[in-house]
Amino acid sequence: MSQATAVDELRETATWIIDSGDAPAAMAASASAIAIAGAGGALLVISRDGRRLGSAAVPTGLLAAAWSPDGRVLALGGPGGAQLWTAEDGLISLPVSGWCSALAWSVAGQLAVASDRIAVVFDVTNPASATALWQTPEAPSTITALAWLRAGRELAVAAYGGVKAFTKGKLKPARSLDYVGSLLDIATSSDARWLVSGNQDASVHIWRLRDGAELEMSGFPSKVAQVEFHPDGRWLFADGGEQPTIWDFAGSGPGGRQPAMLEVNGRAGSTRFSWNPQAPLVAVADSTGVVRLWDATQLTAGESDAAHVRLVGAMEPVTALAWLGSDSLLVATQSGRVAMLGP
Amino acid sequence: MARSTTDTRVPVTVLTGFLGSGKTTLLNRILTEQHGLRMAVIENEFGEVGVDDALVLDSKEEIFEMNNGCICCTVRGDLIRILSALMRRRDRFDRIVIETTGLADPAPVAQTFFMDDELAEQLRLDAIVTLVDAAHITAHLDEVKPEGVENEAVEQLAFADRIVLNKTDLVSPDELIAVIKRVRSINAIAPVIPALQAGIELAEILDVGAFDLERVLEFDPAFLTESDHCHDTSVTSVGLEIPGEVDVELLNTWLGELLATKGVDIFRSKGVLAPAGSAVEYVFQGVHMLFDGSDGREWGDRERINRMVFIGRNLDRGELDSSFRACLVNK
Repeated sequence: MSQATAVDELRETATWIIDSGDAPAAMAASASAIAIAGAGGALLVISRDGRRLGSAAVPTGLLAAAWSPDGRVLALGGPGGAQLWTAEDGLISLPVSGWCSALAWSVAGQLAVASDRIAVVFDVTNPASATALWQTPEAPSTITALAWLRAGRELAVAAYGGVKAFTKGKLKPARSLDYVGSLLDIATSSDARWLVSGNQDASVHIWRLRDGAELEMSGFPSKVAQVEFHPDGRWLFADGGEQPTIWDFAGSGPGGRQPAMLEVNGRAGSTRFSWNPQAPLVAVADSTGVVRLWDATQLTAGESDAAHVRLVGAMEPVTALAWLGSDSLLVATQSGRVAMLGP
Repeated sequence: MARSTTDTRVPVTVLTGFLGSGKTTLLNRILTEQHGLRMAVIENEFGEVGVDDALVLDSKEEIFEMNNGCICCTVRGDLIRILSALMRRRDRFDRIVIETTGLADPAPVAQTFFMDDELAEQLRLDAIVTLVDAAHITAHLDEVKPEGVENEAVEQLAFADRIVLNKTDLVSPDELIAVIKRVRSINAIAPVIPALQAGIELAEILDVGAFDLERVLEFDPAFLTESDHCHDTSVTSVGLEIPGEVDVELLNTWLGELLATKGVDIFRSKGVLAPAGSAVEYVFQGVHMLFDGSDGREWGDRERINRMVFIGRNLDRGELDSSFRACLVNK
């Protein structure tokens, strides 16, 4: 890493760059603020021009961060539980203490947080006194991902053995999508037609929610730890070591269609990506710190593709990426630097 | 798992042993002694470790079957999750110690480091260290389990790379000799380190490199051939030392079949072989069906001798010996 003569591209190309003081584990941007959650538990909230708006410390560390739909409340999760943060109240602990790497806001602003094997849904109308509304029964393992279905009426819980969706007040799942193996992440398309999981066994599993029909793609170079649809619901990004893929879900869906393969220099589990909120552009960072941009509409199904725009070489692993609006990209690196690329 | 001197992966030590064997005492010792090592600890019961500035995470065993058709392939989902989160704070520690519960099966723990690519690239399983209580281990080993249920004490000994025989002051010298003999009958290759209050030199259990192919050579199966059982349903070690060169194709078939049919029963295997027509050794080591092999040192003028050890259940020395000899070039 110590290439003294190499150009510090991140510094050269960034509109601004700051030192967050911790290895960023997650980054989330709202319309007015950027939250940087450090693996060591340092939370830093900054404005769009890099000014510090607030900070807090969670001694047990942080893994996840997500702003409420209205951008008013930040939800945080980590090995020792979940918290809220607001500009007015600062850090507020939620009454859960289990492992929390999954957070999901419903469109109505209810917050679901994982706590070991259960998920708890909170009313955060008044963040300082957030109240638990209901919780799911115990999953077979620690929960790895959460997603709201049916406009916030069902909460899908991913763990070892599949996905189960629960509704308030019922112990019996409204939906059971079984899978023999360990699920690491799930994603739902914005049109609510598809639910996709990325799995420890290096596969992607797809369920059509209407009838539970299943599709599977296996044979990724390593486990698929992250899956996410573009907000338009058409394109799915799946990581998987040195071969992330983008899959077209247009029309009748991905059946019979191959995904396009992106070429990165990935160490297993190290790829970071972020979908542009407007255009079907995905920014992907690999373990060498190179950030590239792909246009999903320019890819060919079933083919490997290097037709990307190279944005920057950060010279160290990128640990989080997030778009700030549709024309700026935030890049956070292992040493704690956070840079904004774009206007 | 091959390791060069430039291996920058973080070493991981797994501490197993029955409740009361002294794991927590040893863990606290590792953390408090002034050895200049920065440790991260994954413990099975929160609050056992009494060191404030140590990076300590709590784990509850989550066994995941791997969806790959390998029947004995299970991994520890909790360790994948916790280690992966821990590696985000890579600058905070130099090595990791994982303490398992007294009832834990060491196989999924070891297999986790082979089966998860992300962990395999960043972490190196250094050794499985098993603590036993000299006064109680015999009773644990003799405990009759229902059909199909493993005796965890036997498994933990069979998997060990180092065995710390703790609380030696609670047994007489004769009893101690008997206990050591019993422990050796199960695992004949792991050094046994007698201790009082888990007071051992840390160098004896750290940087062991037990899964390192370069160090496969550091065992001597000669003393294993003395074993008096020929066929035994209990867990034993079988060492083979067979001069000659092996036919590579026959050897591949033999090893493949052995691990496929007996992989469930073979807990650990190690070997240094002499392939016909090769100037270098072939070294291998395995955990159940997971197998790792590579070229070793030059043979030079040394006599070509194939040396192997298998630790497992229902091992038939005669059968292993004769089936291996069938792979020799000049039978």
